[in-house]
Amino acid sequence: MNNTGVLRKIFVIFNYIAFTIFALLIVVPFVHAIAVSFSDYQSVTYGHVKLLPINPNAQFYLEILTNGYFLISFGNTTFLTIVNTFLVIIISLAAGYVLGNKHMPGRKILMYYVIIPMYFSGGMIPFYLTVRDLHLYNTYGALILPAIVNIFYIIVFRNSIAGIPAELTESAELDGAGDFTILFRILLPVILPMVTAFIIFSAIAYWNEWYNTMLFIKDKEKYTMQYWLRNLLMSRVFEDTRTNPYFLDPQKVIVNEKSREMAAVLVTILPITIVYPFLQKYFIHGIIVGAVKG
Amino acid sequence: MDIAIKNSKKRKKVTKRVIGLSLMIAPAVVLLFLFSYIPLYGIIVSFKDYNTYVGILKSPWVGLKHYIYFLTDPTFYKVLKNTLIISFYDIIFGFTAPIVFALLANEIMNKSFKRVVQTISYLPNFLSWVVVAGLMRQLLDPSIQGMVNSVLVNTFGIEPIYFLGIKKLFVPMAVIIDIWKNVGFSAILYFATIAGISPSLYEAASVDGAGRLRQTWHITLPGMASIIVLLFLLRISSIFSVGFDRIFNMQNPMVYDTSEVISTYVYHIGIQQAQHSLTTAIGFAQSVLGFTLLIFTNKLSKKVSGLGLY
Repeated sequence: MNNTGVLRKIFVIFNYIAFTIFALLIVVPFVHAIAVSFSDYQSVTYGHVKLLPINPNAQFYLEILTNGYFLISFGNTTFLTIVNTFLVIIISLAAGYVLGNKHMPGRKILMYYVIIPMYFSGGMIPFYLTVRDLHLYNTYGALILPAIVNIFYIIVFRNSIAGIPAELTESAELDGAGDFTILFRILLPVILPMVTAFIIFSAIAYWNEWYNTMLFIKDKEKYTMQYWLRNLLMSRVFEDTRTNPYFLDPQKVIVNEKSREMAAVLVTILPITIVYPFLQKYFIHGIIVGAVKG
Repeated sequence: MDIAIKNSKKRKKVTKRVIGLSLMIAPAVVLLFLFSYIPLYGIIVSFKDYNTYVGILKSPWVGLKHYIYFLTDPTFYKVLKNTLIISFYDIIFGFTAPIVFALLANEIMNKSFKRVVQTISYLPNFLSWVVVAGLMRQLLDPSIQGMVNSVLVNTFGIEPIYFLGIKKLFVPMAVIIDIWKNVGFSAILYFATIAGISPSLYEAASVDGAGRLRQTWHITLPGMASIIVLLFLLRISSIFSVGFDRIFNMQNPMVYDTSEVISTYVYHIGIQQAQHSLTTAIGFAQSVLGFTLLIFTNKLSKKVSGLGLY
């Protein structure tokens, strides 16, 4: 059999090496960023810093963690993540349930109503103009309302719920349960793996949100964390230091912006990096269940 | 009991229920109306010379003026060309990478090694492009402060390369970094598919003397065929919509020539330069094209594999 031939052995070794290199490639940019963020001005400027910090000091981290705008943006992002994730799941579950419910008249039309926007979109500009004309410019509303309807989720939930045997809901109805109870007490536990996976993906997407902030938010106090970060990073590329609120006055210690930038980047990804290994099994399970079902 | 009373009680129950259900779906309906349907109406802006001060209704009609404009605009064609080029390489490399990744990972027998590599590979997917572009910009910094160039200069004595600042390098970098970010996570779906293939098929093949390679070719790949085709179709139907996020965070003015795609172009001249009507026209054309592509590729898929999106 060919399974234990020399060629196979070479391939296996090659494979392990390839994946090791791959894993290193993923890790290296982070390690470099960590090194730069902890190193001193001289070392960074003269290109000595590669994988290890030189003359490590945490000044930039302290700077960032005590920066008012950073802290506010962190609060904004946390608030929006929680609120938006909660809302998008509830709204999608409710809509999915109704769309598949025999007792809802006109659900065929509603189905078309929900699906059409998936294929036809007005585009960036009409969306921008609409939000602005709804007087949502520079409000939290602009960061919540347009973001909490997810047609894909609605369709997926509808299909999952429709796949649940009717006996389950019928016996609950006989016991006098209302639709709300049926959905959240009986159906939700059945489709929980997929819902959990969606909760995780949504939360992460909202955590990373910066685009709507860029379009609609003017007040620095309403910035999301990623948008705050983007401003900080872009100030180097576009030399926009004059209007950059995070460009501090001349310091006692000479500062290399790159170290500060890397510190900022790492601070913003710290929560996700810590949390995601634990969430792994939930979203993988959810994807697998979803893949098998449809 | 009167049938009339029974019926009216029933009707009250039914109506109450319908009201309840309607309330449950109301938020979705309202939100879709506000943020999907009203903007659809906004498409008429492309047939007018939109003036912010006068509003949509009072702006003058100009018919197809903006459509003709961009269809005859060389700048637009450059942007279109960039979009298609990036999509093309995205499909050749970016689409196939997770498949290869999954197939090769399938040959890793050591479970802990596999799990560690997979866990590591998922992380970049969860980071925003702001972060990824920031990390890459530092790593690939044109001075020796970036690690790659530091190694190139100090160890190999080569001149530093401005990876993200040279026009010709932008596309390869955009594609490679996208793979870096997504390959691990995108492979999950393929892992699930592979895991769903019946082991008895492999056993039977093994008994017939087929080695791993042949088994992969005759069993694993065909087992993945339907999902590959489906995902491939979805990819094809979105060739005009190269993601805004990735390009926008990675580009800088030096490389606009090769990096400007339709989505970023629309942002730059539509929002920053307030050319609302023109960019709405472009956006609408893009939407129609994308939809047509989707219908077409779906029909194609049904013919080829009997599988479609709907």
